[in-house]
Amino acid sequence: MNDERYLTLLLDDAVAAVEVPPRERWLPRRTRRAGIGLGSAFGLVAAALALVIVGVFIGQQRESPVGTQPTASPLATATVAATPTPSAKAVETPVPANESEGWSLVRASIPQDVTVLRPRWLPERYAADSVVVEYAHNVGGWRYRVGYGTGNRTVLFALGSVNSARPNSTETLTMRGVSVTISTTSDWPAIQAIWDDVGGTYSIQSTDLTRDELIRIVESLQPVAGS
Amino acid sequence: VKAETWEQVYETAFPRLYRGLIAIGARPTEAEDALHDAFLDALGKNGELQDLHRPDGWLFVVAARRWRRQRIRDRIFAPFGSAKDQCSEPSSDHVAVLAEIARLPLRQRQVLVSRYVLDLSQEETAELLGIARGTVAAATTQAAAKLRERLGNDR
Repeated sequence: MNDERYLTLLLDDAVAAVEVPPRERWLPRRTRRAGIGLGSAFGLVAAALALVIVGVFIGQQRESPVGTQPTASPLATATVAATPTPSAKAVETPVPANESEGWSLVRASIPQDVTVLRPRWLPERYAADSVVVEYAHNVGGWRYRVGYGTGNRTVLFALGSVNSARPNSTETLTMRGVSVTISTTSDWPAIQAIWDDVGGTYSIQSTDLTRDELIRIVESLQPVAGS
Repeated sequence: VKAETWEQVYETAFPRLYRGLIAIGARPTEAEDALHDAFLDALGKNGELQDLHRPDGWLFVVAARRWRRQRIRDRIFAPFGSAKDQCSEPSSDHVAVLAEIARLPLRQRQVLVSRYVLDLSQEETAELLGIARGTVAAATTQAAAKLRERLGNDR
């Protein structure tokens, strides 16, 4: 076993059992006590964001109702239209965006010959979410990661290597014409799907998806078209 | 990086950052405090960190620095006995592994956590820790050799 694999397994195992404090203790007490300070500011920002998201979501209902659309057909179907983005630029720091803008940003940041895969179906509990484009850049190969949800309700779509605890169970299924490995872990992620496609290794990692939901999401993936 | 972005990064990365700090030797309360400080530090920068490549890595480095400073203060001012009482004996495999990691030099611990807990690349680790990429590679090799020697190859 080479050093990389040895250390990955060793560290995954060692930290997986470290219990993380309850969520209410994550933010500093000083900001929680700050009255109209930071916590309220975040609340106001979140409320404003929620209003924008609701508006965008209502608009999107006409063209792509996330959560209610039937399972999409495989890769051969038409690509998903993306809002054009003026210039290609790597995303180096997380960028919150509405769903369409987020995927457009990724598409604009990654060369056209590298496939960017966007889900066309998500469970209802993710339907109103904005996304966070965590990164979209070339660091040892083209990589991107887009996140939906937050905390204990999270699903991440990535191209390129990602972190994972050692799987407890693994199965391989053929979906969209490729071999997809689905595995569960006792830590992060609770469940994930990993496969190789045009552009590299793709993955979907989540804290709370069921196996059936994950499979349905994989089957719903469609390449995001360039502008 | 805006305040709301920092909050999202922080919430997403908190479990990994917390575990990373535990892996380099912090106690749970120390790790929490150090992360709180790092988060407040990030918010205080108010947009100064525009070109930050990996905000989660930045939070880790700042939190690790805060933890070390606090630990030094504790060693100076806290009675030796009370600190000793807080050290627990390894009680299971993972604790034993963490204990062995904690025996490595700080630089090696930081590199291991950056690479294998935070999932940073060699380049990102080198940039964040302010060291050469070759140093990252060397620290990784040395740490792996030491851990294999102490824990065995089959782990």
